[in-house]
Amino acid sequence: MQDWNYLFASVRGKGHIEENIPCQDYCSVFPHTGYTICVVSDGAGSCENSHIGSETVTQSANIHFSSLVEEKKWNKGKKKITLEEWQQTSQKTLRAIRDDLEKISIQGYNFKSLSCTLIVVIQIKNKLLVTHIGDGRAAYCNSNDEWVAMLTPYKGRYSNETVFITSDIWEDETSLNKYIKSTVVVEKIKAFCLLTDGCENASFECYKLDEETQIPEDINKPFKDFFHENVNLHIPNLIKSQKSQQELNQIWKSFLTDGNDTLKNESDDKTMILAVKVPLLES
Amino acid sequence: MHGLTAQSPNNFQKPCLCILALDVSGSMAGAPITELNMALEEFYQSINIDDEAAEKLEICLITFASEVKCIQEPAKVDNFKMPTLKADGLTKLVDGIRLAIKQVELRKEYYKKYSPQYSRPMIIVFTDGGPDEDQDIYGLSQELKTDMISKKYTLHVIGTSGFNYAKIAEFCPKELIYQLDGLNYSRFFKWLSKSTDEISSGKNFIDISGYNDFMHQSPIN
Repeated sequence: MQDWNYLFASVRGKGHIEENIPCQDYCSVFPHTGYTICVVSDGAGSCENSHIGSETVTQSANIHFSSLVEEKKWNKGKKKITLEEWQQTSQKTLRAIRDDLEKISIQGYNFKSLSCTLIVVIQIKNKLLVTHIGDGRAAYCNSNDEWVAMLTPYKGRYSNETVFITSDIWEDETSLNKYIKSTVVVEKIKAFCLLTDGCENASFECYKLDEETQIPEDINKPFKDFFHENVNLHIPNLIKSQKSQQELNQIWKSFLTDGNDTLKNESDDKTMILAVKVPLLES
Repeated sequence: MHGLTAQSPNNFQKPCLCILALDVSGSMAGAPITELNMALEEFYQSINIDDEAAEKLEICLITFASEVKCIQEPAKVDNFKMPTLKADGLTKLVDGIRLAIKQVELRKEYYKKYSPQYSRPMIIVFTDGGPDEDQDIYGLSQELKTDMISKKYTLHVIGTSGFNYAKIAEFCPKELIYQLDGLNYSRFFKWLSKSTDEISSGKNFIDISGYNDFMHQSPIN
């Protein structure tokens, strides 16, 4: 028997530490009976209350997506979850989260000042339900130890430009389909991750020069050497040593802060949830 | 000790264009041009020893006096040497900014073909005076207004003692005009070499820490 274990943390980037601004990222993992909801959110750097926005949408995502899963009874029985159904219902659920954020703005915060991205991954039986607005990355590792991207980040014209949950995308179906992307992964999965763009340079091959054309392209490929030893060796060892969730997250926080030079020198805030399937300990 | 290890890939750095539009009119002769030349060389060296900055920052140099010239097309520091500027002539400042805007447009065309993403280009103008009387200030002010709304680039004007603040404020929003303390180009460029990410993200200088150690937003009389 194997069980899912989660390491999750958000840390301030070098730039935010130097400027003494709060961490604008937020993340959490919400365990439920038969499924787990993972959420990461990146508050817009230029928006003064985006740290409040990212925390609010994370909590709100748990409330609305858990209601959805239980209403549809996806966590019970063997009901098939179709891609079409997930795309439609995830759009509606994201709108409900957006409306929650608007309610906060009525309490005195400017709505746009709460701007943030959102990635939600629901681990449910042998499936991952994925939906997102904006940038960031997510990937899973299959039983052949291959890492596969499970979303394509929306990037604007300039670096650091993307679409947010507060953006004007909710009026027509064309916009919704352009900016909200959802997918269902059905495979034997041994690990998965979701992260904000502050972690992408460390863990993904994002911009590589094509050797023939010498033109850079975003290949959106998870970098196996970032994950492999941690997933197959170090994290199982930590789990075996019976660390508490708090201790695991503290270790993860420390790793995201200065685990290697790329992480250490990153100016943006860094958030990553890493989920790893590890054999259950004998009691 | 966290006990976790990881290697990271070498990702291509998104290019960031920094255009310096430099006043080399006659009034800059002597100490001002000497200080500016020294500071530009220091800026060049500080970028050169910073691997990340050297890989992504493209510098373009425009000078304006009686003539306007692009003396350095956009290039990374390992592809050019910082030239030594000489001061002489009038101040075709408006034409200098227009040439900088033209360079932004040309480079963006190139980026659109060859780069999946790029940072917002930045234009920084240095002057110790103001535009000549025959320069099209009104036309430039209209152009800048439109370009700022569509976030085509960031623009800041840095004046030194005696620069014509009122004239520059006729075409440039006041919050984007700064005055250096003395001829403190050196401090400015040290700060700039650390602040390019924030400037290209659209931040005004006043929102970036350390700016007020060597310049101010309102003119010093």
